[in-house]
Amino acid sequence: MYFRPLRRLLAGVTFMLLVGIFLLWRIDSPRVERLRADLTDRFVPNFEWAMAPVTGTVNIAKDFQSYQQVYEQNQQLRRELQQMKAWKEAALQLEQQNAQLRDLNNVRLDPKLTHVTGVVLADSGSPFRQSVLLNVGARDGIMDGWATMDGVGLVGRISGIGGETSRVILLTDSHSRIPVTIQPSGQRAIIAGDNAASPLIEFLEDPDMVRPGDRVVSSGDGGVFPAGLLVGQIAQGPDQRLRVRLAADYERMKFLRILRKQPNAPITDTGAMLAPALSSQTGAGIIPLQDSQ
Amino acid sequence: METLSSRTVIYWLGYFGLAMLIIMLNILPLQTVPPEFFSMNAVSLESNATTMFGLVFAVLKSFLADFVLSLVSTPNVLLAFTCAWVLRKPEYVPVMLIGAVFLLADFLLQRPPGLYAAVVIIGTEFLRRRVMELRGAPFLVEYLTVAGVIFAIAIMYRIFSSVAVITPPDFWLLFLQAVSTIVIYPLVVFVTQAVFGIRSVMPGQLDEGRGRL
Repeated sequence: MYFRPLRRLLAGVTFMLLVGIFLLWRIDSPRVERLRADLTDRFVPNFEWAMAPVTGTVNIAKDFQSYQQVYEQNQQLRRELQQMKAWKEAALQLEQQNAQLRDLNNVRLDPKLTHVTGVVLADSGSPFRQSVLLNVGARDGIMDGWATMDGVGLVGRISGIGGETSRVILLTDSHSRIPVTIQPSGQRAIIAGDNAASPLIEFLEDPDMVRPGDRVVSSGDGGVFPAGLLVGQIAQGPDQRLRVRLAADYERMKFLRILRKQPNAPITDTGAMLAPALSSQTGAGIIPLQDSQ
Repeated sequence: METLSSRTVIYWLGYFGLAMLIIMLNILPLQTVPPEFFSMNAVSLESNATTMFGLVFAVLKSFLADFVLSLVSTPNVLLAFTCAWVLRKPEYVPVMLIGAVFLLADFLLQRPPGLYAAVVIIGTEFLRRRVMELRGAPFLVEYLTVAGVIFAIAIMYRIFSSVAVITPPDFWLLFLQAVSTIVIYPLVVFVTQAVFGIRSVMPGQLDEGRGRL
């Protein structure tokens, strides 16, 4: 009774429809991704009332687990605190010195680099992709490609915006590629996510000049990100490949800040003269001519 | 459609609600750190692995922890439930509903839309045609059939995404997902029967609202 032609036809039609949607996505990806963003926008915020208690409960359970390690951690923190006090002293002195020098130089920090803070609503939901969904979107003026940080380091970039939600592709996602500079040596490289906790470093010119522990910051190449955002530290895997231990705390992602970025003024033509605009009403070059007649 | 009882419609809604619940639990922002299964990563292993024994112990421990974690976090519960329902009461999960639910899952879980759904349709239609044969057969037979279908779905998904020249999903991760889905299948069957009350109609039994089979 389940082999009736009608059922077969229905299955066939459903199958073709799905394949059709897939092909449409393959051909015209941006439009279908737009639809995806809209669907996410429609569905996920509605889950929020249910998600909050579940997330809370699981986090409490996790916290209980971590009580075991608290004593050990406490001892370790005490030791670190001793070292940190020395560092803090040094930092304070440097800060004062820095402020004085800034004052002397009349340096003004980039005022365009403001940020919007969003709350993490959801993650990608499968181990195949690494992304999170934030509760800010086009309504808040978020745009594709903006950098996202937690308090300390870079987390990822915005990719996909709905009205009230936007998706952040994390640096660990296998599609993420970010240009970086490795600090003391100043070498340029790309960090490439591979769905592992620490992304790989690729296209490094001279690996001998890089040591584990070096600081990795964004380089601003390609106009993707502002330069100088902290990404993490170099670490070396047992397979001798260089990876980045990320500075951002991926375990506890709750609030993320999205850095607003104004695009650079685009250069549209090759070499026109820098002159006031010539038009019949306000043209500065024409009026004096008429006055002289 | 014959005998479109209100009971059937309620189960359609139930299936949809269950699917939404599973998707919601999946996308809870609990696991923002990528799971590490077979990719040995330096950072988790470096601590106190000075002796050989310590190293072996650390590797074993992290592997075990990863395995347990993977069993919790990776299985495709939705697929397991769908297979269990199709084999018990095919009329509660019509093709179009499965297609719609998995398409929505594709969209919400960042998969290429439609591809996984289409592959799942192939798998569940295969199961649907064997409902009569599997009815009354021992559970082991059903289990093996479903295991085969779940593996076939993973393999077809992988092959089709290669054919369509999109970045194919990580092979080990897909394999692990299939294995963990199969591992949880008996539990899903138990829940299906005990909680939702969906059982196969045995030969000679009365099917509600339809009379003798």
